[in-house]
Amino acid sequence: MGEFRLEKRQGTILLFFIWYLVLSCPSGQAGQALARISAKESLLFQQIPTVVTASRQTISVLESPATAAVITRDDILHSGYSSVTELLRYVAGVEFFKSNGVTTNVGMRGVNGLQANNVLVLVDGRPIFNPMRNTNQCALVPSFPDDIERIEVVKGPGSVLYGSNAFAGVVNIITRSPRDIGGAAATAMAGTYREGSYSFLVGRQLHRLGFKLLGGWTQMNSVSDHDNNLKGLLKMSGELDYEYSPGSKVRASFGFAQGRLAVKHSIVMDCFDQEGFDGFLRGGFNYGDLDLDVWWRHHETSADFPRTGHVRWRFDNVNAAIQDRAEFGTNSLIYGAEMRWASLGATSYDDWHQQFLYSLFAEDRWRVTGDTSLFLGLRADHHPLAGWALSPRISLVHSLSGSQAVRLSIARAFKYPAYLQNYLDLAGSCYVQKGNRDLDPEKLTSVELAWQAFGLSGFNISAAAFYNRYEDIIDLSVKKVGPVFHITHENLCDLYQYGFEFDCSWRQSKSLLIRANYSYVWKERAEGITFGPVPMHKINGEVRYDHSSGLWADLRIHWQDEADYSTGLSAEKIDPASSSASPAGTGGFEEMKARLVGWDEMDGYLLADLSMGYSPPDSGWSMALAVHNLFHSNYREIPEGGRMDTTVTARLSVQF
Amino acid sequence: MRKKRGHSGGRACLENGLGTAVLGILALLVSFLLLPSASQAGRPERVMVILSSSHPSYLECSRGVSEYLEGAPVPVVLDQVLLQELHSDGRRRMSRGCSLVISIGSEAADFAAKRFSRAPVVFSMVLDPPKWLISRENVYGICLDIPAWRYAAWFRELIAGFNTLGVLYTRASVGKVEQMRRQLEGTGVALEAVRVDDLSQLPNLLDQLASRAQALLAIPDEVLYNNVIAPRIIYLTVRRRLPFAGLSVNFTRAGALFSLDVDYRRLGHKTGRLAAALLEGRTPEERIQFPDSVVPHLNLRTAKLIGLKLDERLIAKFEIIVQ
Repeated sequence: MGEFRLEKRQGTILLFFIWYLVLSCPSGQAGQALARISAKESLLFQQIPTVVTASRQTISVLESPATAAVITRDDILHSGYSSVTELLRYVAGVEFFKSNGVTTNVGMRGVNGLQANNVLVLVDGRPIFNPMRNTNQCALVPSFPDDIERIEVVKGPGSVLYGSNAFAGVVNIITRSPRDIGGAAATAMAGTYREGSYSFLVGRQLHRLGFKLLGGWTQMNSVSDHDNNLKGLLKMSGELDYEYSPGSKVRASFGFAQGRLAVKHSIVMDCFDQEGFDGFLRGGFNYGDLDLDVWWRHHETSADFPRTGHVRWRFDNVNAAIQDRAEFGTNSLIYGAEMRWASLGATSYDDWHQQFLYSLFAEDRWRVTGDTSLFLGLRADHHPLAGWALSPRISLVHSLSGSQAVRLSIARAFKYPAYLQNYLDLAGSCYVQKGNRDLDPEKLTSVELAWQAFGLSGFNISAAAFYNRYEDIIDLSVKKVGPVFHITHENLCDLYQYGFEFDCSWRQSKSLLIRANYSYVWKERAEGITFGPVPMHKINGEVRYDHSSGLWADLRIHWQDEADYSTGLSAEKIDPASSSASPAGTGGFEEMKARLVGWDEMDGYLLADLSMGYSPPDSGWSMALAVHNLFHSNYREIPEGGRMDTTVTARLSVQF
Repeated sequence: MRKKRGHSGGRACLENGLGTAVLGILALLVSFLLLPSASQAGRPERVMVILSSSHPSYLECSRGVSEYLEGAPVPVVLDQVLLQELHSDGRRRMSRGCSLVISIGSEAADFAAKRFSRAPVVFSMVLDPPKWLISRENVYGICLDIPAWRYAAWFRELIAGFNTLGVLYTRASVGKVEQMRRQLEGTGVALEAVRVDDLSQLPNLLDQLASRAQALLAIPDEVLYNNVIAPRIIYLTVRRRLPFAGLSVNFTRAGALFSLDVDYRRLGHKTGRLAAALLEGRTPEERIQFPDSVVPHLNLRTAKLIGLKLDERLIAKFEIIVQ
């Protein structure tokens, strides 16, 4: 077990940062923290922020039934990141870690796992999770940072509106509309270790017709083995919409990613190269509040494994969703239905399987008084094997004043078993693995108390405390019968967590933005489950400066303490007679056993990212330079993952 | 007695020569009178067009100006320049002289009015121009401001029985409120103005206003309607179901009920028309003018949220922005 030591230099930087934040506390003088605009007519040109929450309707963040954070386009452009999800690291309550340079993992409030298998990631409302393992491979999202308008992060159970997998939270990546793009742009990014990406984006609104086209190539490298791990993805997407009557549109879109990327499914398994294609076709229309959305997703990838050789997976999903809204008196009701037909299979598994899932949902917002709203929602989902799952949510939101609100929420979410958990059958010389068709869905019940104050002289604050009860956790169960290990997935245990988040941001002036947040999570250590890594304490800070000449700089600091993790059962538990240090080369299972250590802790670390750039006002080009891991902290983000290196990326963007 | 032939011949010669000289002088004088007009009829006027920056809106207005002046009766040579360039290379450019200066944007108008005291200065795309600018005798212009009576007319269509318009203002925009009161005289619409000295009191002040007025109109006030405070005001008006007209389509996209936006190219045409009139020596009826036509944008979602029932014919008058 390692011990986290703050190096002297890192400690000095952290102290300076905290000192600066303390001294920078606002005096409360109204009118100071405002934009200073040189020409009055720029009041007409300025973009006014709109906040949309994952309540499937546009309402202010102060009225949201769940704690939400928004990563804006400004945040994305100032970060210099090439990955659309990298900024999630700096959101309070979100656990973000990289398995290698490519595979990112997202969890929330202590409920996490590899490849974001407890969070629902949406792109323009379309889920991207892979039903094989219930994971979200964000690297396959056919988009680039230039195309992202904002990323909404909703913390807490979201199954009431989004169904399975909206377990610990929802991340909704919203891309730019043709109207917002209004032209064309080409971006090139190059970095150390031959990383790079090249993309073009064109979009325009021509009266009633809007179109968008995006394409590019992205090349990623492992954080440690730089010579032999270059992977690349070709991505393309497009959108066409037509407004056939005021407020009503018909739309069509497509997107795909093709290429190779490195994947790490579990702590005890090595990284492997996954190669293939993931794409979608989507169409829909809306007539006022009535919205119909249909999409088809095709995923076909393959990889080579030591035990099973070449494996090819394929799944096809056809989804249809309909939603409408009704207003009556002081009530606003969202209701709808979804259905999904899935065909899944893999060459080394038993057979192809087809599943038909359907659901109904409704959430009512009742304005009890002018200052108080009550959200009551319920969703019912049906799975062919796991049966029915109900996800209720009650949320009481009360405005203390025009810019402050408190909220009490109780919600339940669920997660259906992944395809592999139900159907994976494998056999080797010393083991037999069987899928379990009788698995119940995992369930999460969460109670949250939150307070938000928004826009008080440019100062935004939020605080939230939560308690999570996690039931019927599905994980591997290993029993030794004679010389053979019998492996299957089972609903193993329950556990609970609680925690607290504090978030503040201060727009001191048009030029200066300061942010800080702190998260705390305590979790019960249940035996036999794969978990984490989840740090108990986490602090993020950011200082951003924009000069009127177009020069800008952004410094982000992330600190987390030791992180708990568990690989599941320890080798001694499943086979007391064997040593945990098995010789290498005796078969994949023996090697895996050697890595089963039960609960352990990973060293904490301090990370600093610095980006700076130049965007001349009203010009058509911009450039940015970003240094990731500025002080070359030597740390891992995942046990047995690569050590994070310092990387430098440079980006040039030209608009036409 | 012999006649002095030479004398009389000389006199005759002299008389003849004098006459010729007089005729010549007369002809010269007449030509001096006629020549400028003749040369004026052929020589184009040099017009300097100064842009505050290369913002797309300014460029759009400038295109409108060029389009109009290219077809104007008075031949014109346009010298378009960014204000930034003039700061670095101004002397050389301005030493060439010009018949008229068109300035697009507040900063360009400010610069032009202070540097050119003789040549007419026509400003365009200036929102809420300051008093010192519009009081200069050689300054003419087209503001971006849309008169309050125009907003009142649209509110009348949207809200049954509408008769009181509300505004929030600060110390900086006191003058604007007085101007709006004058603009609303005779329309039958009263103006309720609430002063905001402390932004933390905004919710209470808006409550006050909502109890006295039927709608809120945004005014060009940098303290209240910048992109930090404006979203708060939009949110509060939606919560209180108070119809709110924003300063531009960006406000409508963010959640304001509607806005009246200016077509910048058409504004450029109007600016060109004013400039052409001045070049032709005609004095316009009004030195400071307003946009002729506006593009109304409506947020249907906001209309629904605040409980406004709008019929299809009314909706059809707007460009629709739906969140």
